[in-house]
Amino acid sequence: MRDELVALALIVGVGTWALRYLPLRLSWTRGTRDELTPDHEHGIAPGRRAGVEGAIERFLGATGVAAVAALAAVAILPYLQESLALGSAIAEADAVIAGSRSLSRVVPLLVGVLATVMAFLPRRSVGAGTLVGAAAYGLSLWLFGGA
Amino acid sequence: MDAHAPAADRSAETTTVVSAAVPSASGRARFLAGARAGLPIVIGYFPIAVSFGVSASKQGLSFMEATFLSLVIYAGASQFVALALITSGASLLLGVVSLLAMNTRHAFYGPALHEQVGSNGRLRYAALWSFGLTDEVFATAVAQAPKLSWSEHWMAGLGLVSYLSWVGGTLVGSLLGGGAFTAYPLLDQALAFMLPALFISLLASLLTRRQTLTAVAAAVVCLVVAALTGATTGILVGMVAGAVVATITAKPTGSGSPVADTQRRPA
Repeated sequence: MRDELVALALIVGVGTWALRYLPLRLSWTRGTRDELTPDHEHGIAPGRRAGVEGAIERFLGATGVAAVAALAAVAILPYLQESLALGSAIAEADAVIAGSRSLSRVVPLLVGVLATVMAFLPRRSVGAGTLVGAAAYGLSLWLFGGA
Repeated sequence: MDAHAPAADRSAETTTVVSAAVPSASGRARFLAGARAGLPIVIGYFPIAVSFGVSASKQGLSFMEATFLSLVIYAGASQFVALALITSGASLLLGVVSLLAMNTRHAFYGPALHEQVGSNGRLRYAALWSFGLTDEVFATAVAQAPKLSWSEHWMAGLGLVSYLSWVGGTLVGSLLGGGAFTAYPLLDQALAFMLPALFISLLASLLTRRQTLTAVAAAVVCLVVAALTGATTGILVGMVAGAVVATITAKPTGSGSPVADTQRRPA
C-alpha cells in the first residue's frame, strides 16, 4: 500500500471519529451534570437558564429531522439537476425529442420517490420503502429508456 | 393526541412508549434488534460500497487499498473525494483538510442523538460505537430511538451491520474490478437510487405535522446552497437552517424539545 494513502486514511479516519465521538461525549457529560446540579450552583438565574437551554434543546431536538431532510434533499439533487439540465435543452433542441428525453429522467425520479413513500406507509417499513423505491426507479428508467 | 397536553401527561405517555418495546431485553437481544434495524442501511450501503470498490479499482487502487479506506475512514462521500484527491496527486495537507471539512456535520449528530434519547441513554462504549455514527446510522437511530428503549447494545448492532456491509461491499466491488457494471448501466443506476430511497423512507418515518416546516426549511435551504456551493456545505447549512426555524417557531413545552412530538407518534 502507498504510504500517502495510509497516512491520509489514518489521519482522516481518526479526525472523523473525533468529530463523531467528542461532541457526543461532551453533550452526555454536560447533560448528566446538569441533571444533578441545581441552577443556583451554576450561578445562573433559573428563568434565564430555562430560556437559553430551552432554545438549545429545541435546536438540538430539531437537528435530527433537519439533518435527515437535508440529506434526503442532497441525495435527490443530482437527479433534479439532471432533469432540469435536460429540460433546459428543450429550447435549443427539437421539442418532441428533447421533451421525451427530459421525461425519461423526470418520470423515473417521480416514480421512485412516490413508490418509496407508498411502500413505506402501510407498515412504516424503511426497508420496504428503500427496496421498492429503487426497484420502481430502475423499472421506470427501463420503460422510459433513460438508461 | 393533543399536542398541547400538559407536560406531566406527555411525560407519562412517553415513558409508556419507551418502555413498551423491549422493557427487560438482554444486551444480546438489544444488539440483535439494532442489527435488524440496520438492514435497510445494509440494503442501501452494499451497492454503493460495491460502486466505490469498482471506482477505486478503475482509479488504480488495489483491493487492499480500497478496503483500507473503507475500514479506516468509513464515510461514503469523503471516500469518493479521497479517490479523486489520491489519483490527482493532491498534497496530504489538502486531502486531510478537505475531507475533514466534509465530515464536520457529524459533530452535530452526537448532541442531537443525546437530545433524542435523553436520560434513557447510558454511555460506556461510545468511543467504539460512535465510530459508526454515519449519516444513515444517525438518521436511523434518530428515527427509531423514540420507539424503543435505546441502549448502547442496540446502537452497536445497528452500527456493526452497517459497517460490515460497507466494508464487505467495497471488498466485493474492488475484487470485481473497474469494468464490473459496464454491461449493466440500468442496474447500476437502480442500485444508486437505493440511498435517496433510504433517506426518503427515513424522513417519512421521522416526520410529524409539527416538524414539516423544519424539514421543508432544511430541504429547501440545502438544495439551494448545495446547488451553488456543493453537497457538504448544503447539508450543514440546511441542517442548521431547519433547526433554527424549529427553535424560533416551536412553542416552549415542559420538555422544551420538539422531540416529545416524535415520541408520541404511534409506532
